[in-house]
Parts: sequence; C-alpha cells; structure tokens
Amino acid sequence: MNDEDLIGRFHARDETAVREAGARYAAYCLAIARNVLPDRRDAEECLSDALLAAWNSIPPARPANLKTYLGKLIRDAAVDRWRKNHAAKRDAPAIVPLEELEELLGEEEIDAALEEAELSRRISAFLRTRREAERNVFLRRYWYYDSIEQICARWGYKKSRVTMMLKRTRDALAEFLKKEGYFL
Amino acid sequence: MMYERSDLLRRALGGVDAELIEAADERTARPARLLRQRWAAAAAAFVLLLGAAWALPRFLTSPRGVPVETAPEREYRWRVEGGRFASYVPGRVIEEARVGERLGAVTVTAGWTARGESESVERLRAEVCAIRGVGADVAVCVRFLDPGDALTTTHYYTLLNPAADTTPVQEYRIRRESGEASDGSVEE
Repeated sequence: MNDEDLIGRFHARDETAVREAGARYAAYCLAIARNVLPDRRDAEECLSDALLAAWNSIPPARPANLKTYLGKLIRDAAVDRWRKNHAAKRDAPAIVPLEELEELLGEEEIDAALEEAELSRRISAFLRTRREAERNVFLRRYWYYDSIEQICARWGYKKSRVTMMLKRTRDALAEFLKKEGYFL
Repeated sequence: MMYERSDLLRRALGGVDAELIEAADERTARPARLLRQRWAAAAAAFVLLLGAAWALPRFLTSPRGVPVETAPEREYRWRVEGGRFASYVPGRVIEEARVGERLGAVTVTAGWTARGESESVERLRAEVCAIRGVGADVAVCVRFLDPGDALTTTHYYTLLNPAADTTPVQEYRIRRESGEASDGSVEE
C-alpha cells in the first residue's frame, strides 16, 4: 500500500491507517523529536500526539507527502512538549536552532497578518535560489533540528564549513525577508 | 497581533516544500557523489603536478643549459656599420614630430640569429637624423631606405649611445627583463 492509499484510509476514517502510518514513519519522526527532546519517552509521546494530529487533520487535509506532513506535525509537537517541560524553569536551556533563528530576526518584529502559508511558500522560493548543499544543511538544522555534529557526520563536512554555510544562508534569508516586507 | 519572535518563522519553515525536505533527508547519494568529485579533483591535481615536474626544467633551460630569458629562440638584430654611430644601440620607434635635421647616410648590418648563432645577414641603406632637443652624442634616429626583414622604411628607429646619459630619451630604451638595455633586437 502506498502513501496515497494510506491517506485514502484516513479519509475513510479507517483507524488502522494511524497504526500503519506510525509503523511506517516512526523512526523518521522519532529522530526529529529526539533532536529536540533528549528523553525517549517524551519523543514517543510526541509521536502519539503527531499521529493524533494527523488523524484529526486528515480529512480535510490531503497531504501530497505523508512523510514530511508527519515530520512537520512531530516537530511542532516536540517544540510544544519542550516548552511545556521547561515552562516553570527560568534557567532552562534553549533549543539551539530556534535561538539561531531568533538571532536571524534581530530586534525586528514580524507582521503576523502575513499568512504563515504564504511565508512558507516564499521561504521555499528563497531556498530554491540557494546552492543545493547550503539548502540541505539549512533544512537539516532548522527543519530536522540536527546538531552541527550530526550534519558533519551526514555529509562529511567540517564543522567550520557547516557553521559558515548556515550563517551565509541565515544572513541571506534575513535580507530576503526584509526585502519581502516581513519585518515591521 | 505580534507573534513570539521566532515562532512564525519556525512554523513557516515547517511548511517548506516537501520535495526540499525530502532532498535534505538523503544520506547516501550525496556523500558518494562528493567523494567521487574529491577523488577526481585529487587525481587531476596529481596529473598536473606530474606534468609540471616534467615540463618545467625543459621550459626554463635551453638545450645548452642557458636560461631562455637571456637567449631568445630567434631574434632580429641590427647595427650601424662603422662611423660614430657604430657603438650606438637600437631603441624604440620615435614619433615623426620629434625627428630633426638629416645628419647623413649609413649602412646597417641586420639579420636573424637563433640561439646566438647568425641565421641570415642583410645590409640596408639608411639615413640618420637628429632628435629634436637631444644631442647627437646622446641619441639619433634612423630611417631605412631599404626594407629589412623586420624593419620598415616608414618609421624612425632611435639609436642610443650607451656611453652617454640617455635620460632625455629614456622612454625609447628597450629593456630586457634583466633590467639591462638591449641592442634593440626583435624577438620571435
């Protein structure tokens, strides 16, 4: 059964679809969650949350790519879980990639009236203008929340090279967002 | 409404095209290609290095072991035969506006030499003229009446006295890379 059939079963409200999706993409989703949450049990709970979110959103959603759809759900779930875990702690460590994104924004505020989906579309367009290697490194860091060391191990790059690639792309993205009018 | 600063960006990044996200998840294809590219670059560099190691000594040294820059493969030399200008060395072509009165006629011996050995000799008639504002004991100019193999009959070539202070005609001196003034030869 391919992903399209599986999504069809979500639409038919067949509960076995959730189990099947979980079995198929558990490893992929857990790897993303574990990049944010060191505790395996937390990550597994996030997987359950993400599968429940998929069940609740499909239909009406009909994702073109079930794998990355679940990936997006679990990265949101993992960040929410991390925030919940650290809500009461003043000196909680930050999620490093998110901190880097904040640096990208500087002191600027983003106009929320601009739709998230539209911003996603424009960021995709921006990323397509970047070299493949830089784009992949950027997405590993800020989509999958990989550590710098994980990225180095994946492609055999040196740490300084990855750091430089990330900085270059962040700077270019900040410039792009300014030009596009996303900063107030 | 203002979002928490990084939150909109984080969530918007989550919605980046699935195709890009999938491409960033490839683990094996890219490193293999990268490795191949690195090997290819290293191999190319090695071949270049070998080539340079083989060719460089041959390029820098002539068959007799004389460095090329002091012994050009083939050059055209000329000198005035006898008289007061026989010791003068040829220089660059001078503008016609700077040519002064005619001083007399001379015969020039010219010809090609290869690796220091004469290949051809020609004798050419020429007229010697003064250079305006410059004494004939420092420099004069020459127009050939017979066309030489590498000389025209329409230009005035300077002739400089190497024993004099040639500062007024400095710009017409021909210098070799070694810094010494040459005999005005034409290299081929």
